[in-house]
Amino acid sequence: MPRYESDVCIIGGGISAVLVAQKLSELKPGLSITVVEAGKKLFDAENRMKYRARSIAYGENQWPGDFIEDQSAEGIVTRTMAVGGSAMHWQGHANNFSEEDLRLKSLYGLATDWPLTWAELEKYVAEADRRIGVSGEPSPHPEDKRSAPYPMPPIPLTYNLIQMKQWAERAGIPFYGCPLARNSKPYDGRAECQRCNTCTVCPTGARYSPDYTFKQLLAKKQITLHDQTLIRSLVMHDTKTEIVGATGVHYERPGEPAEYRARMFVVASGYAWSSWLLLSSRNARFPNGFANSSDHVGRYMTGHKFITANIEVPAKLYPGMNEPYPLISRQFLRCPVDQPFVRYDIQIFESTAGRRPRLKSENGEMLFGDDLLQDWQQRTARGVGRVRMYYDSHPSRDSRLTLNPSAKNRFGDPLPKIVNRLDEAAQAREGYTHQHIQGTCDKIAKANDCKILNVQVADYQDHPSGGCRMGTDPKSSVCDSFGRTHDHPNLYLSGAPTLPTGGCTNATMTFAGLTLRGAEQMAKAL
Amino acid sequence: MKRRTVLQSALGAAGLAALPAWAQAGFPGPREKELREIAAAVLPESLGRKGTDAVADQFTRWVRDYKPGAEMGAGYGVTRISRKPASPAGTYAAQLQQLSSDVTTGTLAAKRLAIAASMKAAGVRDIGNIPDGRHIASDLMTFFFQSPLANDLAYDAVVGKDQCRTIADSAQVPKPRKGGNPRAAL
Repeated sequence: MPRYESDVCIIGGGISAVLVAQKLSELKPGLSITVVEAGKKLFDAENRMKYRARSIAYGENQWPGDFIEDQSAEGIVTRTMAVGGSAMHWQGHANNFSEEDLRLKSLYGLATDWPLTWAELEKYVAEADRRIGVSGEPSPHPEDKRSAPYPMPPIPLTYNLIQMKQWAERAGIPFYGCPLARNSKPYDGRAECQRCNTCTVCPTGARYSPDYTFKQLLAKKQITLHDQTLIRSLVMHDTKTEIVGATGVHYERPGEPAEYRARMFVVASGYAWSSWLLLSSRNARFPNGFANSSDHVGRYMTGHKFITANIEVPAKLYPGMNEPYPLISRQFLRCPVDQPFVRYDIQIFESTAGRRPRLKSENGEMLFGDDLLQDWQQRTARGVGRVRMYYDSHPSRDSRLTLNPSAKNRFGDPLPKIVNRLDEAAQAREGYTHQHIQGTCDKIAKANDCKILNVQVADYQDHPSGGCRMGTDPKSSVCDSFGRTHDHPNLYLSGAPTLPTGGCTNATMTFAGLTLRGAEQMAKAL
Repeated sequence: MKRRTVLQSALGAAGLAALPAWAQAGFPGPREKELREIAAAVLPESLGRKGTDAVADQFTRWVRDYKPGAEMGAGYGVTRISRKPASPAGTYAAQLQQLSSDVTTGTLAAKRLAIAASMKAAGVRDIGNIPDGRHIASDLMTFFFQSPLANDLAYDAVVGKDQCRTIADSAQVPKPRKGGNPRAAL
């Protein structure tokens, strides 16, 4: 069996993994770091314009080969499995959580508090902004004060967003451009945004993706990267609780398992595969999975629910100017403690709802040629804003990832099954939350002679996280605030799986901040 | 259904499924005239004949560059891998043949009636985001009406949807299309 030895073995190759690798290599020069990722390297930035073009023309995958067909799971949100992870195709929305997310129990008597304060975390979020490259403007809310400005000025609002900002603010709700991990000027060797309108595959490199950092680390020989290698289980010391190894298999050499030995292991495999690996790693002392003496691995799977409304705006808009760039309001992120609990952000995007070309007129007549074009033109006089609200909804203990014995990968390993459940309090306030959000939409519409075209409640939770929640009590959590597992002194978890609750705005920068804070502690422990 | 009709249908279906590569590469073969006539019937007349011919030629390139079996994109919540179906060239060829006499003679209104009936028979309901292989006429319409040019025509402005542009002029209202003449863009 091939054996690979290093100081640190990072399992997973997404945004958390690369940030841990980058920071450790800076704090501990000369450290040997191996990153092991099940998916392939997609380091072909030069082809992204072509992939983008074929995605637009044919609906083809923007990231060919970014998956492993039999390494999927029931209930997961994204299938992506590649070096760079889901952040290869994120849109770069770089919002932050707030103090309230971390103090739900002490402020509102709900869910749980995180084992750190926002003040402790915020400076690492700002560090993540700098490492990743975020363009943004200060929030109008003083509570959102930052320890450092965004490293780049904001991407200019489009004409559409300027119109919609004026429109929405008539209801007394302040909006500003959403901070974005897209370059408003050349940054870290990557180009300025060209408004290509397809941020999920950025053909210019203006939107950050982890492959750029991986390539920098590899060029400086600061890491070793083993892609296409699935780590199937961790190996524990015979008598102690330290993790001594990880066994994996390369997809092109399935008959030849490999062993990774390291002083420290970092599981940075995202919200689904981190819990999966821990539950798949067992011995007589930990029959329910490693790091799972508390029986909390795979529990409290979280994210945030959301509602989308399309609202007709009394102004002509021009969809296609920069569709993935929203306005954001954090007006409702801070619920007064003496009022019924409800928290949500509001994001407004340009939209083509009801403004697409159509084959039949209102009276069912089939349209061709100039008639079809005129029908379309007549419907463009008033624009549409897509208004999306992520709301705070907390998981129950039984919001779980479990191993599904009836679904296995090619190696016979049971695959994950995720079933999200809200806790009782969150379930009880669903109606009130929806009413509040509807009321806000009505208020915006009423202030502006608008028409709400439709309102939809999503049937899944976005920006999923959890499964290995952090906490101070080893009986009710899996790791501490640095991601160090309570059960194994040299086993750390990074990013999304460590969140106790999923917040109510885009979560990537919070994952990244937690990861960087954890990496600092890892460096001290090495 | 008579045995002969069943046999013909089966052969037709088999022929579509087992379309030889050259049939896609050589699309539309001897039916270029029919394709251009359909384009002239279903696309905006204001493009002019030269304009609709140009769109028909662009659509021909789209058909020829189609990759059966290519991985398809998947949105959030979709973890199953799906692949592009077989080339639509065979279906298109059969529809061009079927519509040949209807679209090469007669008035514009008569041509549209015939095309509409054929689209209805193929189960076409609306214009999609990308051509879906159901019918050559609706796919030609999807191909054009989802294009940046059509978007600019609809908004009578140079929006440049899906085209990489500088962020410097983001705040400006898109400029009106030059002279409002759709032919100018082709």
